[in-house]
Amino acid sequence: MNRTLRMASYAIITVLGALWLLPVLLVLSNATKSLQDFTYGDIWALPESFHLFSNMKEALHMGALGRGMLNSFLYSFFGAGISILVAALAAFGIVILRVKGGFYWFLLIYSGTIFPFQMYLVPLFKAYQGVGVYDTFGGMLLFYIAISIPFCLFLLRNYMTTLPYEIVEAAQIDGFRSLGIFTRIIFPLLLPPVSVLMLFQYTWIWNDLVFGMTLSRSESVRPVMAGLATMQGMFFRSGVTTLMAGIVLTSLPTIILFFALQRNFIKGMLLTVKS
Amino acid sequence: MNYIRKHWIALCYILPAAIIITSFFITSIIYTLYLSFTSYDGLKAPEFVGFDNYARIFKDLTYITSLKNTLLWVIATLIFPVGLGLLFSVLLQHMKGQRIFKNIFYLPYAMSLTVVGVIWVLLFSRNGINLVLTNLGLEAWAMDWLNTPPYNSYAMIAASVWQGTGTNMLLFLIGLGALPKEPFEAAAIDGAGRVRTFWSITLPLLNPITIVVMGMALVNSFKIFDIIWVMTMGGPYRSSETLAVTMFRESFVLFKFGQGAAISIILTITSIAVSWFYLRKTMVKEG
Repeated sequence: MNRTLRMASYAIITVLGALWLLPVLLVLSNATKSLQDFTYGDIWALPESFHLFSNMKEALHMGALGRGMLNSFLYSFFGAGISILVAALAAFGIVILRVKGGFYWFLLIYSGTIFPFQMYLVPLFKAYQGVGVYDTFGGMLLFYIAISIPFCLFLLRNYMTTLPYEIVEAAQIDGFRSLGIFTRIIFPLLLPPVSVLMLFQYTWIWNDLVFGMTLSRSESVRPVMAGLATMQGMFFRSGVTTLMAGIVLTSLPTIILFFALQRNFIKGMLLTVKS
Repeated sequence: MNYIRKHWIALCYILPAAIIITSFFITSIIYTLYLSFTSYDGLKAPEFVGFDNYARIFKDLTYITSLKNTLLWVIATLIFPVGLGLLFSVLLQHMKGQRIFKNIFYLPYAMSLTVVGVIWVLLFSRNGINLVLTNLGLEAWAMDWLNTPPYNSYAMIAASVWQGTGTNMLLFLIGLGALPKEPFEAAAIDGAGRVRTFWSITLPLLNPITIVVMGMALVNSFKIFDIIWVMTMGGPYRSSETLAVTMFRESFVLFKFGQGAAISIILTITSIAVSWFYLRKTMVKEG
């Protein structure tokens, strides 16, 4: 009985696993084909030749994905980094310096994640046009910093409350001022949540579509996913192989991050779930 | 004043974040609320129209379709990614080679929803799943998936299930690993079968994590936008729009900013109301 049950669950999971893997294999196979192969065969046919790298090159240039990837890398890296710093400062003020009414300050900043993002699209679009930062690199970066702050604050505040307060008192006796306590004592202790946040916010910004579409237009500013969505419209009929190579290119950074730092992701999810 | 004098050092640390959030998001919320009561079209000055925009959402067939689709997405996301995630985790729990399957199911989650949308457009194109169906002798099932309502919504839900199941599976696996051993030993002594054990012991013990997983699925399902925008843009004839897509189209394609704002307010109210139990859990613990 147990044996048959085990065999049955192996069978089910193998079938499901194959089903789950199939779309990924299709992408890889079609990204490898030459356009002729694709046109004469169909999407299920295996590649006859190896054109992955030339397809990728075409996606980078003709689809303008190269610029989008560079933009998104900068948005993701600096957006995540700066928002973590700003949020860490705020968490420090609320938790360590024990500002009166700290919970209300927390709620004010955290409220940014409670509302659906649709609430922000039109006002930000209008404001960006009014101030003149619509379709600029700085404008996009500033937005990504802002949108990342609430969640960063949420995790960092939770984490800081678990730090023993005695180390702060000891530092005060040693004559540290507040900035010294932050840079020398608290910030180095924040490494575990900061690495998790770096990962979460990096992938969030990299994967964002709707704000990239709303707040930017030109190729030199547009983030990668907005570029990919545009490319899909242009390439779906005439260049599926290029499009699939584009998918491989734009997914690789996050896939590598996910699997290289899988443990951090699980830790991060647990942190989020627990709270 | 006294407050500022007493806490000015702490405020120096908090204010950058508070100012950014207030200027970006709090003012946006107020402005959207204001716009929702106007007929703003981007050209003429906003004109006050009372609750007209709201009333239209429950009268006009386009918006009613959008409401229905949103409900469909919410229910489907609660059932499939959560249910399959649980099934996968239970099947994998004591399995040899767990890791490789775990990674396979988790892989789509490492891709963006935009990418997932593009992949599934290919799968639902003329030569995709249709070709398989035809070869299996199921020609009758082959169709222009993304152009045939309501199947276009089902097709997109399939894509989102493919993407979202892995993370739920991971959370359930963690939950299963943390369960106490004693109840299971007791059940084994009492001679309870696997199925019986699952229903009467595993599931109830797993309840806390199930609530969290469902809450996360619920919150995310209201905001679904990327997959639909990439796969159908809400079409054909706005048949597969959800509230988030309708809001975007009204605002940035049709320039009915007032109507778009009213839809985002409705979206906010429903999503906060429905996910209230989930939010309250986090909030109460915070306080």
